[in-house]
Amino acid sequence: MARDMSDIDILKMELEQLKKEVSTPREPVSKTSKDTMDWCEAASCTDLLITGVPDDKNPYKPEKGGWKNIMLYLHRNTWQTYCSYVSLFTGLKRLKLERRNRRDVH
Amino acid sequence: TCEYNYVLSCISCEPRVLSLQNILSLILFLLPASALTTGIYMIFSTKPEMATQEVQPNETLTNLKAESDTLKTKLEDERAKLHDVELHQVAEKVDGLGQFIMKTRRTLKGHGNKVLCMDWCKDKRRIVSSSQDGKVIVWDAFTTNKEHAVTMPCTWVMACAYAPSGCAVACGGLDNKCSVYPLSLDKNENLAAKKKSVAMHTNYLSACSFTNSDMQILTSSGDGTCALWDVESGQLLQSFHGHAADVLCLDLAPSETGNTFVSGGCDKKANVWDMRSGQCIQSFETHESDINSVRYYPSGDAFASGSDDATCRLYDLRADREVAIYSKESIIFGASSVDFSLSGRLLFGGYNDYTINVWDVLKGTRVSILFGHENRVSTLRLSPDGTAFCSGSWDHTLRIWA
Repeated sequence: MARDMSDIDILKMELEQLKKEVSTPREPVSKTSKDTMDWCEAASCTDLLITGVPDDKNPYKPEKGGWKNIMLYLHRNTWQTYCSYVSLFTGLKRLKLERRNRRDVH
Repeated sequence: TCEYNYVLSCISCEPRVLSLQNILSLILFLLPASALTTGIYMIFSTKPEMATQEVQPNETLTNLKAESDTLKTKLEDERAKLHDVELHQVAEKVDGLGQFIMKTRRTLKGHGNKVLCMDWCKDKRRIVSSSQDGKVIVWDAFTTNKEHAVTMPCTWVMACAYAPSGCAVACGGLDNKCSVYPLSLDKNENLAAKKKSVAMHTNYLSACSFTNSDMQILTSSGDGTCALWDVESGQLLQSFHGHAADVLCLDLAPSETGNTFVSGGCDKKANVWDMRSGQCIQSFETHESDINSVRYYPSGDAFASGSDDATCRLYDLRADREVAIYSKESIIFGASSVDFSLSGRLLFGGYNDYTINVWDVLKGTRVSILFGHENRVSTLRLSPDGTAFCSGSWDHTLRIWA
């Protein structure tokens, strides 16, 4: 809708908005900055990125390679690993049979 | 001539029976006369009006511009009167932050194209992300498993949001509407079948967010408006007009009782709106280019914005002015997304030069740069418990940093 408005309409809208804003109540920056700072300091103890989280409590800290993650990885991929082991085993068995057959033929 | 005689005889008070024929002839005589007189009147009355209409547009345009310029300077004077100190001066006595080390802990791979938007679930574990190829995927951030995947009928899904209950996701983009998909525990269920179209805009959907409940959605669009919708009925509850160009981002005020939100657009303005009345309460125009992302300070008294002019700025709502600029000469690429840490001490900005800069909000200095993405960072959100944040990028991946 802003694209359909003519320049005059956009200017009128901005003008109305400016008239409203000139009379909004304002506080000095020294007061508001101090309040922001106090709030921030008070909340800093709850901010885990600043205080830091011990590795065993942080769900993201065990990186790929940590033993916890290996267990997770294995658990998730058990079926996959099982299938791959089975296929590997059958492949090896087939190879053995082929070699035996060749030997018999020779 | 006989009609004329009739009229004369009617006007002269001779007693005469006014039969139907007489009346009809009278009307027929008067009709052309009246038509002639009204025609002459119209010609004479419209000409001067048309003349003034041609002159009016130019005069009103310059008048309006002059008036708005004077009001803008007046507003700046009023704001400058209260600008007695800088934020970093007040924050000089605050301890500096120590060494800040964050690494990529998880990489979520699976999108086929640029990741455009992401959102966390309130359970601090699930993430929904949307990409250019139309796919919306729900991930488990701890295990990096994909839980649900939906293919939208449009490409460039630029907005996605998780419902507060965790039971639905909303997404939208070039299809000009916002669709809500209820999530089910059954993985095989076709989510696209249960789709509900909620919002209808006349241009692309740039951002969407649920309010405190699952029942209402706030959307912003390329048509320059924001709108509040009821999810159940799809009805428009409130619309917000005031931007002169595309609205690119929005953020809701953090408090439970809060009913304001801030939006940023291509007209370089950030507007703060009252959701109930639909009025713009405050407006800030100090950026030099499009505002790509806005985020409220956790206390609700300020908000930060990231823009294509390579700066992030902090605006204080009670002082009604910009109080800090986060920029460096070496940063020339625009900031696409910003987010605060839980206490508001850190500001994370994802930039188009593939990096994430971490700023100290109070002191105005850069704390650290995070490298890892191979293309521009398009979206960045802190997890609800503040232990990590997730960034999505045009390199098709999402990274979780902790």
